[in-house]
This record gives sequence, C-alpha cells and structure tokens, in this order.
Amino acid sequence: MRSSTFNFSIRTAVLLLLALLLPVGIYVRLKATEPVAPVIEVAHAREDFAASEVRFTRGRLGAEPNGPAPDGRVGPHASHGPAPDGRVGPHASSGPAIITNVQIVDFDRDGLPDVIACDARRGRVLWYRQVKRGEWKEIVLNTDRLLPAPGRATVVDLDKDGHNDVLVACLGNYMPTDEHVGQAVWLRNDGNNRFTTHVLLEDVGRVTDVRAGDLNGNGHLDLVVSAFGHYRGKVVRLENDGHQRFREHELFAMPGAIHVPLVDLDGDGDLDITVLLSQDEESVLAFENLGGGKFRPKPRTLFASSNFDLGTAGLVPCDLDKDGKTDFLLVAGDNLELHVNHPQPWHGCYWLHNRGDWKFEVKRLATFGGTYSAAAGDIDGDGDPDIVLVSMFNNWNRKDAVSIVWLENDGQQNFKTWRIDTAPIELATVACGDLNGDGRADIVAGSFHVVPPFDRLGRITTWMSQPAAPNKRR
Amino acid sequence: MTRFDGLLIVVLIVEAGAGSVLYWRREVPPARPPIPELAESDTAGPDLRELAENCRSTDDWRQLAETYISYGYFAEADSCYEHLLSSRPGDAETLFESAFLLSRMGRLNESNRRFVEALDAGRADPAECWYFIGRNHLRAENNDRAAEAFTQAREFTAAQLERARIRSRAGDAREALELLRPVLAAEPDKIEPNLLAYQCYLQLGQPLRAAEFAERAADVSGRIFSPFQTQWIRLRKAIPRAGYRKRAERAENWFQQEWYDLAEEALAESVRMQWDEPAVNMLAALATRRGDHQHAVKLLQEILERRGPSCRRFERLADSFADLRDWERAVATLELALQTRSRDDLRGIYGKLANWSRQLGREADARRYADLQLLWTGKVAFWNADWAKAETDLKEAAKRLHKTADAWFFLAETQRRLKKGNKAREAYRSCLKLDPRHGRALRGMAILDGQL
Repeated sequence: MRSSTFNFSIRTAVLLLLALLLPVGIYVRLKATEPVAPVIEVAHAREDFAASEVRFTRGRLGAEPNGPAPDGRVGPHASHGPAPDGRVGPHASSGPAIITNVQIVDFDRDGLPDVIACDARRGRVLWYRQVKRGEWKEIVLNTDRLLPAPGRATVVDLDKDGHNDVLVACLGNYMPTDEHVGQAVWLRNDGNNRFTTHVLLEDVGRVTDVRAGDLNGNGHLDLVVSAFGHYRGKVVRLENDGHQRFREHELFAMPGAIHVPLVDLDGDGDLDITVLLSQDEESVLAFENLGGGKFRPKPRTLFASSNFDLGTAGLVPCDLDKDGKTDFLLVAGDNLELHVNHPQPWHGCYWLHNRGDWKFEVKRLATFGGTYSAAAGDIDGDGDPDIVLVSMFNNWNRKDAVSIVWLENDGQQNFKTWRIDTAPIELATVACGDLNGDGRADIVAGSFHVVPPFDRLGRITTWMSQPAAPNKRR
Repeated sequence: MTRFDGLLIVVLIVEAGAGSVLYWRREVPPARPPIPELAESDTAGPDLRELAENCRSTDDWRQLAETYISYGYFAEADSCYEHLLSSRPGDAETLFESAFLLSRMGRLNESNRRFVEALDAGRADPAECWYFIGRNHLRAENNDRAAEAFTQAREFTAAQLERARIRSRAGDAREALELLRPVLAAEPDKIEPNLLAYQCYLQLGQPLRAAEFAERAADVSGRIFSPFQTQWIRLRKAIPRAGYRKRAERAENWFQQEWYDLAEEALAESVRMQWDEPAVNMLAALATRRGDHQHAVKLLQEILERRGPSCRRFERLADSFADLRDWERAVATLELALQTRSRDDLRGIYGKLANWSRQLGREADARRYADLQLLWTGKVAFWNADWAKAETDLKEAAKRLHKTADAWFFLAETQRRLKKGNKAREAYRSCLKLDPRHGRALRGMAILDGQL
C-alpha cells in the first residue's frame, strides 16, 4: 500500500509539474523565437581611397574653432566696440569658421612662406606671418574697416612701390543673393605693412575674384573682376590709368563667374582672360587679348558641359606636364541645388590639358564627392606636381566621409588618389607649399561651416607632409 | 491512473495544442525602416527615430523618405522607396518620387527608367516626368536625347528654354533664337531667356543687340517656373518635421498667434538643440517686446559673434541700442552696417542715421544722411525697374548731391531707359565731368550713340 501510494504520488506530481511548466516553456519559446520586423537594408556608396603612404601631421593656424576667445572668455563675446586686442568685430573663435580662401605666399619677402586667409565671418583678411620656422603670428590686414564677406585675396604690388598689396574680392554676402553687394577692394600697403582699404568697384553682384595683370601693355596693372552675382552677374576689366584710377569695361554679362585667371594661353606674350563660369552654363571661356587693350568679343570655349549640375567650383592654372604651356585644374563639387548636398558621381578634379592653338583636352583625374578646391604641389618630393583636393559637400552624414585627399603623380600624369583625413569637414579652400622647408609641399585648408552638421569643425588647418614609412615606399 | 492524473494529461494536451497554434499562427511584423547611422548625434535623431518607429501606412513611409532626403539621408530614403515599391510596384507617385531621388543621387539611368515606369503607371502629369528625364540626359551630356525629352515636356516654358539652350551650346545661335522666340514672347520679364538671347547675339557678333538683352536681364528679376521648384518646395516642407527646426517652426506659429510664452519656450529648446540665427533673432524680438532691451542687445551681439558682420545684423543691434535711447552706440553700429554693405537697400539705414544724428544734435550729419537716403531710394527704384520713381528721386538726389558722380550716373541710366536720350546724355556728361573715367557712364553713352 505504501509503495502504491508512493507511485501514485510521483506520477501525479510529475504530471502536475509538467502542466505548470509547459505554459512557461511555451511562453519562453515563443518569446525566444518571436519574429523580428526586418529592417530595410541600405546600400551606401562608399569611398575606397587607400590611406596615404605619405604621412601627414595635422595642425592649425590661429584660433581653435569654438574655443575660448583670446582673452579667455568662452561663449558670446561683444562684437560691438573694440575687442581686447583692439579689433572691432567677431573673434576667430566664437562660432563655426567661414574661411573662404587660403594662400601660401612669402608676403613679407623674408624667405619664409606665410599664409594669407580670408575670414568671411569676421570680415577680415588675415596674414599668418611665419616669424621663424613653425612660429606663426596672426595679423589683421584690414584694420581700418570691416570687409563684406571677403571671398578671395590676390597678393600683388598694385602701385609698384616695392611692397605687396592685397586685392580682395568681397562677396558682400556669402549666401546666395542677387543684390548689388559685391566689392573689389585694394588693401594698400604703406610700406610698413599697415594697410588702407580702397574700394575699386561696387554696386555689382557678389564678387568672387580679382586678378591683376598688364592687359594693354602700358606697364600698369589692370584688373579683371568676376561679379558672380547669383542669377545675374558679369565679368569686368578695370583699366588702370597709372595712378590706380580704374575705368570699368564690361567683358561678359553672365552670372556665375567664379575665377578669372590671367594667363598667356596662345603664347603671344600678352595675358588672356580665362573665365570659369558655373550656374546654368558650366564652362571655361577665354577672352583672347588682341593687344592694346582689345579683346576678341566672342569668347573661346575651352571646356563646356551640358551638365548644369556639374558644380564647378575652381579653376587653377598649372603646368601639370611641364611642357611650358599653362594647363588648368578644374574642380567640380558644388552641390546645393536642393537645400541639402549629396556627392555626385561626376564630382572631382579634371585636367584641362593645353594642347596649343586654343585646344584643351579634358582628362578626369579623380572622383571625389563635393570637391571644392584644388592645389598643386610636390607632396612626396619626387619632383613632379601632385594635387591636393578638399571636399566641401561630401556625405557628412557618414562618419567615414573623407574631407581631403591627394593625387600622386607617377610622372606621366597618371594619378592615384590617397586619403589624407576625414576631419575637419566642409573644406572650401586649399593651398600647397613647403611651409617647413623640407622639400615637400605641405597643405593649408580653410573650413566653411554654414550648413549642418556642425561637428568635426575646423578653421585653418595644416597638414605637414612627412616622409613615408620606409617599408611603405614604392 | 487516477481521474486526477487523467485530468492533468488532458490539460497537458490542451496546453501543447494551444502552444502549437500560437507558435504556427505567429505573424511576422511589418518591415521597419532603416535608421541612419548618425541619427544619434544629429539633433534631428530622436525625431527621425520616432518617425521611423511609427511608420505604418504608405503615406508614413513616403513622408519618412521625404524627411530623410531633407536631412541628407539619401540612401535611407532610397531604401524606403524600394520597400514601398516592392509591395506596390505600380504606384505612379511613389515611382515618380523615387525617380526624382535617384536623379539627385546621380543614378541617372535608374532614375530615367523609373520616370518611364511612372509614365507607364499613368502618372497624372507626364510632362513633368519628361522634363526630369531631359534634365537627366543633360547631366549625362546626352544632348540629343535631352532635346527629345524636352520636346515631350514642351508645355513647360522651362523645357522650351532648355531646347534653345541645347542649340546655343551646339553653336547654332540662329536656331536657338528661333526656339527662344516663343519663350521670350511668353516670359519677357524673366531673367533666363534674356540671358540666353544675350549669349546668342554675342555668338552672332551683334554686341549692341546682345547688350540690349543683357540689360533686360539685369532689369528684370523673375525666373522661369520649372517643375524642379515644385519638388524643391515639397522637400523643403519636410524640414520642420524633425530636430531644432521642428521646434523653431512651432515657435514661429505661436509667435504669430501671440502666444509668446509658449514661443519662447520652444525657441529656447530649439537653440539648446542647435544654435540657429533665426531662432535667436526671434528670441531677441521677444525680449524687445517684453521691454528687455539689454537682453535683446546681448542676443543680437551673440548673432554677430557667431555669424559675422552684416547689414541686417548690425541694423537689428542698432535698433536695440535705439530702444535703449543710446543714440551714440546706435549710430556707431549703423556706421558698421554701412561698412559691410551686405545688402543693396540702404534706404532704411540712412533714414535711421539721419533721425538718430538729429537726436544727437548733429544737424550736418543728419542732412548728409537724408541726402544719401534719397540717393539710395532712387537707386533701389532703379534696380527694381521702377523708372518713373527712380527719375523723380534721382533728379532730386543729383540736385542735392551734385558732386556725387553716381547720382548723375543712375539718373542718366534711368533716363536712357525712359528713352529720354538728350536728358540722359546731359546727365552722363555731368557724371563724366566729376569722374572722366566712369566706365559705366562711358558705356551708357556708347549705347546711346549706337557705338558699343
């Protein structure tokens, strides 16, 4: 009887336990194998640039973006009334930088390369003077007045007094507008590196470039000004009477002129005017100098694209193949047709190879989303010109989006693209030059932060080239 | 076996059966939209995540795709459209929107295939599809196919303009002008056809005729409508669906309805998320409304610090100094606005300078600024092609500022446009007497004399 009772109890207990545990087990199983909503897959276009074998050390010139002001304050600083350093206007550090132009030039002719920069947010043209190797001092050139969104500087001795002056293309507004807000300005050097601002041209659309050259052979420097505007604009020639009084001649009444380099394209000894036109008519045009201040009224087309979306952003003269004829690097990557940007497959750098007799062959050198500026320099010190590109409009929603690359020249003008850095982003301008005297070109670039994302900020950034690691040399 | 055991076995069978039914009848939940990699650090991130998690209907998905595009998450938007089209392959509107996105991503062939699919699916406005197909062909430098597509889209003046442009680019200025004729007839006051006519006449070696159209392009301000604008507006509307812009728009609505406390709260939240000039401007306006002019000054100085000098920024700050009756600083600030000249309508600034100089007892300055206000009233009227008003104001300005070459120049230009040749010539001469190298005046004279 005891045994029978015992057996009965075990069976019942087991069944009872099973009856209790089974729902729990089913619940756990159902939970564990609950179907998950599938997440739709995203196909991202990726850049596959190899990391540069030439090493670079990143640094900066001037203030840190969004860092403390020179007097140690953080946050907003009084912009009205003189700042502690005597200047009127915003400090370098008080907001995202809007650097529109950087150039490497030995401004004071002391044998050390300096950097000239346009800071549109502060309304200043800045001279980063290399006092001694690696030691920099910021000097504001236009201390007498603010400039309306300085967009590009040209260093030239306009009055031929033996001292470098600066011509400044003032946008008036760095955002698109058709208002007559552009100015061409001359910062005249009194010989002691004190500058007085003279407005040479106003009541025109946004001015993007001012170049100087003797266009009529009378020994005085004339100017060519691109009033980019927005939907309306023009290119004008300013004829110098020898006393820096200029007579305006309209050359071309189209909007969208970005750069107007003056180059002797036909080898006849005088300077011709080249115009990079963007907006709806993406093209590079040349106005042939017929001598004596006369220009062929119908421009020659050196390059043209029906791709209204090409986004040309810069035209850099350089003799890439060292054949004695000036070629151009054409940069394409401007892209704000919508209010957000996106890299396009045609963005990058094109070589307009001068074949003589006004014929230019177009060769694509690199595809790089949002390319905005290019500079040529011997980065690896092998004797041939390499190229540096910076991106303003890459896909910054991706952490790995590249902002600066260099193109290594194999000596036969075949280029390989190397990644340099992914920060800072939104680089609008770049210059190349040997800053530290080691025989290799270094890089200076400026950040233009006006559209989000406001992270990975920069201002004026330097990348000093170092020799490649021995085992990495080709 | 006892009866109780039997009962337990039945319970077990029922439980196992119920479990099996539950297991086999489980439904796979609907697919979830992708959430962008950087949404976490983006100020719009939480809103984007919420939009993605609440995606149920087709409209939700389309709205999410639009929002993703507006925030630059193009690949994620593309995935949304692909998902929608996998379940509703014949949806003409989704096909169109997807095609538009693909064109913005530079995937031109795919985009055109999808536009054709939208056409096949019976999209309401086929010409719009053809217009965008034409644009894609232009991007791909395929001008012949672009011209064909624009012919299909010819109900849009913008498409007719593109056909003329293609001929002009091909160097056929005469045919371009032929194609341009109906465009100029339909839209004489638009910039683009006048600029194209200018280019064509330049190609044909007719500088005077070219100058006529260049001048017309400079005198008008409208642009030809294109279907791109419709799409631009559609996507623009998606911006305030997320992030700080969502709060800023909400604040603006409350501000307009005069619910200032709510507006201020939303603005503060917006600025905490992302510093933004319009939001801080609105905060300054609220401070002014409350009579807290010191705070308004602080906010407006902050804007100048962060965004740099501009006429409008200095003028707003000067207004706040004026609210504080600090005329000295108000005038000094407006003088900085004149240095920056970041806008071409300086009437208001000169007017204020005249009034405030008077407050400071600087009568000579006040008179000078009033004269300049008049000159700028004339210049603005000139730029707005309001010739009658420009002539009246500039005549008076030239009288008062008779040693200012520009006053005479703008008067001359106005009178030339009014076909008052002799008066224009006289005004040009007055200008050139003051500045013999005034290039624009010399050019104006040359145009009058037909000797450009």
